[in-house]
Amino acid sequence: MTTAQQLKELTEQKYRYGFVTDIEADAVPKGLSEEIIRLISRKKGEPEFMLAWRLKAYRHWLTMGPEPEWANVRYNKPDYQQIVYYSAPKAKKGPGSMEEVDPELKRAFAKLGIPLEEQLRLAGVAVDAVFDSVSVATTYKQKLAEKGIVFCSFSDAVKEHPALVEEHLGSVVPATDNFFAALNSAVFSDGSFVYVPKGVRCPMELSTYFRINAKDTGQFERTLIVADEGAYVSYLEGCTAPMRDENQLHAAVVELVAKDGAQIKYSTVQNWYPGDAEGKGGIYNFVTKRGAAHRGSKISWTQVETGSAITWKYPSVLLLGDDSVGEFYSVALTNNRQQADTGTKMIHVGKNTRSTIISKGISAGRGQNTYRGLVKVQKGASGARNYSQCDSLLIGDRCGAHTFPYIEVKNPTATVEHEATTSKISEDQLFYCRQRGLSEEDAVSMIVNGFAKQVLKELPMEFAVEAQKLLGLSLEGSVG
Amino acid sequence: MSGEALLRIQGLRARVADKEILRGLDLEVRAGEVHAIMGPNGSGKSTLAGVLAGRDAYQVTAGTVTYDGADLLGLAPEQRAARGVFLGFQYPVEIPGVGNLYFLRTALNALRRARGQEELDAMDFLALAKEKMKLVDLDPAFGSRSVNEGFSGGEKKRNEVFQMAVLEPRLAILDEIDSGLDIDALRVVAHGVDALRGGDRAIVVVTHYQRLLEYIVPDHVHVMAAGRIVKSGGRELAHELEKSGYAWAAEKAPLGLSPAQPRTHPRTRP
Amino acid sequence: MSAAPTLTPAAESLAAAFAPRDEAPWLAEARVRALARFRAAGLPTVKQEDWRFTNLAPLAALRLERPHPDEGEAAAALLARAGEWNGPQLVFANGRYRSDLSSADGLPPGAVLLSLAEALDEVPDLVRPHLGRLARPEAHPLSALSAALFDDGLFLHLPSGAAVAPPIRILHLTAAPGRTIASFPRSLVVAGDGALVTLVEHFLGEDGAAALVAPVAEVVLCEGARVEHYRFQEDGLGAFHLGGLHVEQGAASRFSSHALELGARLCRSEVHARLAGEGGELALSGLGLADGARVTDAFALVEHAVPRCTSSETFKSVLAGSARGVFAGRVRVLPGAQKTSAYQSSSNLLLSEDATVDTKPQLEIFADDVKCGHGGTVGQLDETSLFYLRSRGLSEAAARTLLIYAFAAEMVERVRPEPLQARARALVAARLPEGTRLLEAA
Repeated sequence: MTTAQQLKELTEQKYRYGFVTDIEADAVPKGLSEEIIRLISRKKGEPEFMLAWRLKAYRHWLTMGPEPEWANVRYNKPDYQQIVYYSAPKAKKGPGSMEEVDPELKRAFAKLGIPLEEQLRLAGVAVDAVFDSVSVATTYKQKLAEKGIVFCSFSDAVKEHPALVEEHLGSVVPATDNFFAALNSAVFSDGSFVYVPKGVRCPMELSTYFRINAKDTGQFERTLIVADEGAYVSYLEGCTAPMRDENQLHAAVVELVAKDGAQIKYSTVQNWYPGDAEGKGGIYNFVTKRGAAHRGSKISWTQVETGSAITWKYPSVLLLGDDSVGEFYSVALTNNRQQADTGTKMIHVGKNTRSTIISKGISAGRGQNTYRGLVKVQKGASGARNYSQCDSLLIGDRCGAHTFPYIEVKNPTATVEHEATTSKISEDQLFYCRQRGLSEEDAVSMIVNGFAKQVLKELPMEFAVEAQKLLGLSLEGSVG
Repeated sequence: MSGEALLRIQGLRARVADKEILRGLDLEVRAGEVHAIMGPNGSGKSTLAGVLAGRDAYQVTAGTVTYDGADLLGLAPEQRAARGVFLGFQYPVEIPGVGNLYFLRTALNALRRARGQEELDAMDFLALAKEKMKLVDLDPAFGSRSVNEGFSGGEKKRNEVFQMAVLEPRLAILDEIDSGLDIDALRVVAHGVDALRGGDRAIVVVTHYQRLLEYIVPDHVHVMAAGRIVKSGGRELAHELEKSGYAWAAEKAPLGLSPAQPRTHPRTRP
Repeated sequence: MSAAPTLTPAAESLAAAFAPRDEAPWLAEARVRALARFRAAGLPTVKQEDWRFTNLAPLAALRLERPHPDEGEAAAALLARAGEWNGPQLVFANGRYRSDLSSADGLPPGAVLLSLAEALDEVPDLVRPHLGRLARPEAHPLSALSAALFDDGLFLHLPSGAAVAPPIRILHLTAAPGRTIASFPRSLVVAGDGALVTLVEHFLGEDGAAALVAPVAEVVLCEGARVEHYRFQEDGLGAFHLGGLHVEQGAASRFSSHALELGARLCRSEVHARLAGEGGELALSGLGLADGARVTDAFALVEHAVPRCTSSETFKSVLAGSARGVFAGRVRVLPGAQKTSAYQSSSNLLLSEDATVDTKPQLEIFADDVKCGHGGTVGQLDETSLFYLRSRGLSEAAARTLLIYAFAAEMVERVRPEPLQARARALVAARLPEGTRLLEAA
């Protein structure tokens, strides 16, 4: 059988997480207005400063349209008045204790491999489970509190640690930063909050699991992680959504603050529903992620992006402090009609700052995969160093791989190196594997995992295996 | 040894793109035999090896290949592997990021699955691999390196023989397993192969040089030219070739050794 | 009809300089259309993605004039600086052809080497199918400007199989004491099947007054043709040099263009190449040297439209003072252009605190069986090498010059004809501190 035939034969993709949970929701009416924002804020019982902040963001957002078009993606723009901006599973009470979590929700998360029950919890991983607009449960909260670590839903943080929130919210991604960040700032409903005190090494992986369930809902979560001086934290997020014919919008904002000498490792396994083989449905994943790295600190982004119909995200690091380090490791896979425009920005401000970018793009089917990155060395950033490597792998002849690196250097002592390659899976590699007995599909999966290895090894152990399987699974239907 | 041939090739013709390379080749190999196929560059030796293993680039236009009593040409490469056909590559392929042992275990278990055998777990496999590595003097550190990546020429060839030792094929076709090796590496590789002969296993050694056959003494020697076997004989034929070279073979080639057609580009005027 | 946008002084003055000429109606009409096109577009601004890093505002603020015929002598006086030339040569002074200084000796039978104005008179049927076909006025405001205002330039037509042995030099001399002039040299080269030629475009200008030099060249290569193109740009340090080279390659053709961008206050050198026949090969390179507040900008768009073509781009810049270096390269592999091999590299050397560089090597790939790559580096002189040279007795200045030259040497070596290479070496050396003394000795 020829490669082309095989390619064609394998074009249905399986998405394992496409189920819908039947649960009564408390939702606000469709559409966006000051009224809706006041309603969201009221529902969440927020302090005055939050409402003021939201309204300011909203008023700015109104002046910003139309949404940005520079990214290398094509889609029908969402109608912002047709989105439900808040939907929460109806709770009998607030999610205070685990016993009160609706059993239907527990079942939903168990099905996703995230058991919330005490006895079944993932060992060594604390989980904040976010269902549509709200956090429904956070595990190991108590145990972490003993070390002074705050790990809770954003809503709880606003109530319980308003000073910490007020100090850092918007400090890295201002409400006015861009179209989607402004929208998020106006309507964000929940998310995770982490604070690790001075000198504390967080003893377990922290993780948030995002689930979109309700129809017509947008998910606008906000994550804020503050690692105080010398602290260390490793954080992981995972995402899934049901299969629907309509596109759903996910516009999140993630802010990281690494104070002097702190380390934040942020990993993402993004598996939002990608739409069907014809490109119908799927999540629009328009995300702003940025970290501020102070003196001697380190921020490391690792992402495995296999889901979403459209991905638009550039996890970035502002290397503000001298000797700070930024890293970006990314695997982005687009199959069928998926489109991804993703990469990073490394902004070198402090002296002797270092950044590393390793990006692996895999395009299959009719997928379009774009790496877009900026390495900027400011005038004062003497001794700055960057190394970037962007490799693209093509599977099939109907997909596209694009590489758009921007390098801007304003300091002569900087060293910036960029390398990129684009190639297809080699026939020789495939034949070699098959001659040794592997099926073509296993061979492709193995070669792709090998291609992505530099990135996968950066993932926390617990998730590396999962990510590897995900890559294989997402390629089903593309192989050739 | 007598009886049914394990491999029977009759009137085989094959082409790459628009160039015919095999032009009516016949060959029979019985279980337990070692055959050497020799011949000048461009005579079609590597093409024959590739066709037998099922490489896509070759198009078979005529003839039959029967293996173990059934048609071989209709099978996918991995199905041939499952039935015990092994190709030792002239240029073993690098697969970045994929561990050597991981690769081999996945391959072995795929074969075992296809044969209805139980898969080997990691521990059992490791024990087996360590044992077989000794055969070709491979450092256990090779196990964790990426498949063939950064290996020297000799290491790559030793790795091929190591894979053969683990996969235990019924028919091993070794395509210029001696090319690019110095005399010490050649000895290690050849002894490795020699240790694997015996029983029912048939081995076809494709080589340009006679020196390999001092270590792997063949039962039969064939000379290829212009896509066919032009002379067959016992091991003494290899020595003869050593003295007389291949020039006579070219003369014997009934279709002549026509030079490759020059590339033509479709005429496009801007 | 919508109102024309407000034009900058430069655009306004250029549009005003447009005057009908006594020429064929098709050409006159094309000029009118191109002018309308330019009026609608205006000069590029930093708001356009392709011009993000190169700001034409200082040019836009100028009022530009067309050269007077009687300024030609001032320009022609620069001829001596260009060095001896024994082969065929066309000389242009402020964009006007100087037949008295030119010679077309050494051409094979059938080859046509004329000034473009002559060609439009004598062989219009050879010119018309190609003029403005690759440098489409609607695609680029500077192509539009050139189409509307060009006076003259090179016309070379080689029939099938014609091989021109000696390199052909085209000299563009610019000088207009006390005035701010704009010239639009134009080149059209059509190389028939298997034709072979080497071209050297040399731009030389008087330092001092501001000027705009905006050459547009169109090069068509038929099947199996080979064209080697060299560009030595030594315009005056007050000049804005905005060049556009547009190339189309037929099957199995080979085109190379190697540029030394040494002069001008702001130099933007664009190459737009399209590989339109299988088996085509393209090699581009450029070396930009800039100090003071100068800008050197290389822009290359390479389109692989068919299978089995190869392209390589190697661009380097050396930046001192508060100079700015820009590289933007885009390789586009269109659907079906399998077996494409494409490589881009941009290397930059920053010699001072205030020099900056922006580089953007881009790949857009819509075919799967391709080998594409790019690399970009920014760095400074290696301290260890510097120390090594000084410990052997060289002054710091000399050591720096040698190391800078070492960085640039690869680009000089791409100039293959031997006398030209020596010339290229001398030109680069002359721009480095003590370079002539140090490198002539070497």
